[in-house]
Amino acid sequence: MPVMNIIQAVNSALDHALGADEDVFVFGEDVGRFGGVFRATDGLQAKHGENRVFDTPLSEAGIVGTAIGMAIYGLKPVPEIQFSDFIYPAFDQIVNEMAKFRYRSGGQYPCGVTIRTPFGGGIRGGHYHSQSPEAYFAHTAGLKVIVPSDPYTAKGLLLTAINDPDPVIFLEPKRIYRAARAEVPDEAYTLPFAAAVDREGEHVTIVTYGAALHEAREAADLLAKNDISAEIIDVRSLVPLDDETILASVRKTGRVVVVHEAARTCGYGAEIAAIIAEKALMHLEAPIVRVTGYDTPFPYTLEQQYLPDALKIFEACETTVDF
Amino acid sequence: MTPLSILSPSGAPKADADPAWSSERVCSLHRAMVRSRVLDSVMGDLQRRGLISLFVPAKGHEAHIYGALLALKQSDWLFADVRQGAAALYRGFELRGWLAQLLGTRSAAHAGHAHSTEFTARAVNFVSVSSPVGTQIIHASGTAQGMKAKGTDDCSFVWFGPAAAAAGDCHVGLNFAGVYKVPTVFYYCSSGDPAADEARLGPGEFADRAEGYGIRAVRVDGSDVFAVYAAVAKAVKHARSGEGPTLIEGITGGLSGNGDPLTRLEGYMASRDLDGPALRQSIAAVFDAEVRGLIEELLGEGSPDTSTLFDDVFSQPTPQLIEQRAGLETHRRRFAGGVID
Repeated sequence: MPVMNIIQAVNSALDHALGADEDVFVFGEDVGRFGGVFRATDGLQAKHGENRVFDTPLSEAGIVGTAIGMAIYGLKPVPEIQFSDFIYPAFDQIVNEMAKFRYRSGGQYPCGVTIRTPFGGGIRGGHYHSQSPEAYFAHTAGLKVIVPSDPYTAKGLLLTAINDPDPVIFLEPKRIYRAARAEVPDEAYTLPFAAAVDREGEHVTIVTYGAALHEAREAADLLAKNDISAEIIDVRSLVPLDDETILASVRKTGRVVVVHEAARTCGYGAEIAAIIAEKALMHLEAPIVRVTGYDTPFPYTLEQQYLPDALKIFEACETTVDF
Repeated sequence: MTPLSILSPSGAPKADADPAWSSERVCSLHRAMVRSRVLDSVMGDLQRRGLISLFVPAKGHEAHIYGALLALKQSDWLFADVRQGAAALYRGFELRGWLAQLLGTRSAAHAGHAHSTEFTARAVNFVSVSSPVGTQIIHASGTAQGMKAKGTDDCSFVWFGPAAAAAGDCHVGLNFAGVYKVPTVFYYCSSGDPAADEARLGPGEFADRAEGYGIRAVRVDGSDVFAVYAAVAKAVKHARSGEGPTLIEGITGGLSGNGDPLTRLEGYMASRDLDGPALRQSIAAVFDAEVRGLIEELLGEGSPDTSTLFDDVFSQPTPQLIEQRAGLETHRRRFAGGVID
């Protein structure tokens, strides 16, 4: 089986989707001739043609609005927003149009757009190339929000998203675009929009997604050296949320640390904590702890201080276990 | 740019410009315009009675609507703002279902999910209307890009007014359409109040903006249904032949005097020995009774089932939606008889 990084896995998924279904269209700023600023669409225009893979003007509202027009017409557009920090000019199109087309038309106009966009920090990008905007979209009824954590999940979840009849915000953890490498099947495959137990453990559950999964693994290794066995849940699908996989782990360990890069207040971790409190309170042995970005704009120089890292996760787990 | 016109203010056609349609076709157009007036009036009543939140009348805009529809095929997609909902009826959408959506009653196709100005008629390629102003301008371009990519000779058609014309999405939609040369007809309807439009858009002619996008433009007398038809027909031909989009500026007349598209058409009808005002009266009486009868019937059917609140958020409900739906049902069952001390 070939080894790929996330960029190659995304490229492979798009290549399969374009080859298998002539209704799939891939477009965005510099996506066509140049192959994307991160090279995720490299070679796709040459292979599938300028009609199917094309460059757009720099207008996020235009990119998403165009995708909406194509999707209600029955096509499967896969637009790219170059950085999720720049998705806000399309916010009205996403929240008021893409998310509501099916509902407001009573199912007459499904809107199966898959918006791919790199998110997250740790690349010295400053606050306009580092944000984690997932909570805005998870809070909007009608959007699915998917976050792969490695090359294998990137390809399988992206192919599921493209064939899903509902709109999907597909957030790609760009810090590990090239760092995360894994065996990925050459052929097409899909993964369900569901959480997965990434590592089994007994004493504490770390719930996380995206690039932070890798910090959680590092933390779990440190914890193991201190005789603390951590279970890791890779959420993968923020909407719909597979809360059963999370709750089953909580019932087993009784202790929870939720980790994400996005700012704490009203972040997705708050939703996970609330669900656990509602449905598994009597299984909890300690308060739920969040390890997140801070309630500041994403910083430039001190980004490593801002980001959750293995030591912060380690400390939170230790505190939880010692409670 | 001199606006295209065919009918004089009194309804006399310019020499060699009379489309010379059959009396049947002229009367059918007239009937659609009269019916639209009836809907304006009945919906105004419903709004005053608090039975619908809002209805934006089409009065004065009928030439924009029906002149365009006559020039389009059924397979061309319509993107409307809140003023052109009755266009779906002209394309054959069933009146009862149309009214049910406005009222949000039990048989509404969207189960009352959408506001009374927001209307969907997929069966006749009339895309859901959205209250955020101007968003549909980009969708029209996107759908047309899809039409072009799929090799059809269909086009998309979008109506919008001065508020949308001032919004960013109007610029974006025109820009994308110009870049990709999509088969779209952009139809701007002025408000009928030039001072108000100037306050929104400045003193220039709106159609002049098209040049910067590399888009063909035409201005048309929007009280003249034949002129609108001619302008749209030419734009549609242009679109179908791969020549790209057109921006039409439809100049809405004041309703007093000869700015009313309906009286102007009736002036023309008189020259064909067709008694417009008499037809108007009889059509309106019959249609008014039909509409009011259907409304009473629909009000009698009540609201959609509570569970439909959760339908069509996604293709399949998520576990969270299923749980919330069950929670609401349990709650309602418990308090069906009110709070018991």
